[in-house]
Amino acid sequence: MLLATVVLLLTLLLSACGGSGVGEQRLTVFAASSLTDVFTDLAEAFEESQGDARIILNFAATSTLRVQLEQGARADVFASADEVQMRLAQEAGLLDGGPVLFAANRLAILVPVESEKIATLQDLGEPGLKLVLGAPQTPIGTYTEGILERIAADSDYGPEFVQRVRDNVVSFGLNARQAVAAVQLGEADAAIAYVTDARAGKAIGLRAVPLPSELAGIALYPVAVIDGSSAPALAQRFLDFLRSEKGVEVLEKHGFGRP
Amino acid sequence: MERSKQGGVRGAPGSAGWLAVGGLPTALFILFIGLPLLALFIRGFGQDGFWASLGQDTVLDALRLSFITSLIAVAVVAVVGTPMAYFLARSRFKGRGLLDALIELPIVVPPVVAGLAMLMAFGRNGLIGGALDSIGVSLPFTMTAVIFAQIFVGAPFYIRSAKLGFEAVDPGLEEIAQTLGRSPLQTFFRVTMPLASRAMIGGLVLCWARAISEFGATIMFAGNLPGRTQTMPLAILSALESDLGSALALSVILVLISLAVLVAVRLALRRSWELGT
Repeated sequence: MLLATVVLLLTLLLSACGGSGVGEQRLTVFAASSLTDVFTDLAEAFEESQGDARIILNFAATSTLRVQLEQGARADVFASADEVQMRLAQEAGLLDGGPVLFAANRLAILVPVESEKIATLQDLGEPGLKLVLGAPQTPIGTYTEGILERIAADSDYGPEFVQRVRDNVVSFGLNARQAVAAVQLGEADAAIAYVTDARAGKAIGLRAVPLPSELAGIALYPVAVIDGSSAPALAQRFLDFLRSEKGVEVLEKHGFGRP
Repeated sequence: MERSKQGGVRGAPGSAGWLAVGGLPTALFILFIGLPLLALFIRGFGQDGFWASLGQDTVLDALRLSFITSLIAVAVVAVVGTPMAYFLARSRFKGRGLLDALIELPIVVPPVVAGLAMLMAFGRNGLIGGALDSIGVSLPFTMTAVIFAQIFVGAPFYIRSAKLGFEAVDPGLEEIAQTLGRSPLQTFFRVTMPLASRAMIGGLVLCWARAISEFGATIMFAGNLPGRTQTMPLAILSALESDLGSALALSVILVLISLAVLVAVRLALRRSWELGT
């Protein structure tokens, strides 16, 4: 009985894995975690426009993806949340051709919709506030560090204020989405993350408290074809699609801007 | 003992036939486990910054935190789990099977799910988290949360093992000790526990091993803050974000220390086995 069940399960599993259609081309896309929702939509739209293509999406922190690619993970397209990681990938010889920018994003303070604890940047320094940031070295962490440095240099805030903000940090999310998840679960009061992540929150609604624009800076997303791709032509078509009218429309629907 | 001198009877353990049947799978398994570890060591020690990374604050913090939290978790599990395991081993009641299953459930529940479940219970918006909050207790993102997560995932390994150990102790021996004038407590400490000690220690080691390697429940429930909740596994994944080198160095350290503890416990056990019982 047990044996029969195990065999049945294995059969189901194997048939599920081997279900690719004849003539279907697969494209494996490694993308930054902040692109989770928009790339899911984009992949669907691209598949519709191509007919016989299937996109396999893999989301994680850009830096994790870059390390995986360096260690030989197979992928066709790499979409990074910052230019630093893309440059490192390029220097490691991972890319086929140069990267192109396809989207822009901004960072903001994300809080639960109903929360009244935070109205402005100043409130991030309130003692006892629970703040989550992106881990250092990830794109979200690197952008955040840049923002904190600019805040420290700004005479309205200064280094003491930034120290108070740092003292409020209770956790570093390993990627942008993980940082936001702690706020969505109601455990943290705020996260510094991409404005687009506020729209992704479905379980608990989030809203973005904007940072002063001269401090917030801009996040740019480059994309590139991976060297050794099994479908370089299809990969290039996906890159073109990202910057096509339809692609930009989907990106803008999710709150991303043009680079 | 005639057999062993002759090099084993046909079909008995130790014979050539057995070597073929048992030896090949053993060799394959050693390769399977050993090759990745060997690769980890070769790449880890080969890093330029290997020794430098040992001295980093985050590494020392993570090591210290991992050891403090896992030892506290094991101590709590031993204190609470021992009487519980004994109770389960000696009592027969309706629903015991169900209770056994419940206790072992954390072994099969994915750690991330365990962490999420703990948040749903003890988190700020959790089932009893609100009540805790009102008396000034906030668990998420604290060292206590790290220990909670480790107890949650580690305790079943000890309770299960200790229970089996207690079940193997003949209740007749306990009765004899008591008819000889020992109190139930004395009987437990002088008779039952020594006889079950191997199972108990084995269970504690498994519990500790599970606690020190705990990742999913910790990052979910306790977060990831260097010096406060960032244990070694979390530090390793965080380091991976920046460079493979320091992640490898951290991994090598964790494996070496865990190996040292396992070997030390085995040696101590063998010694006590030869000396006593």
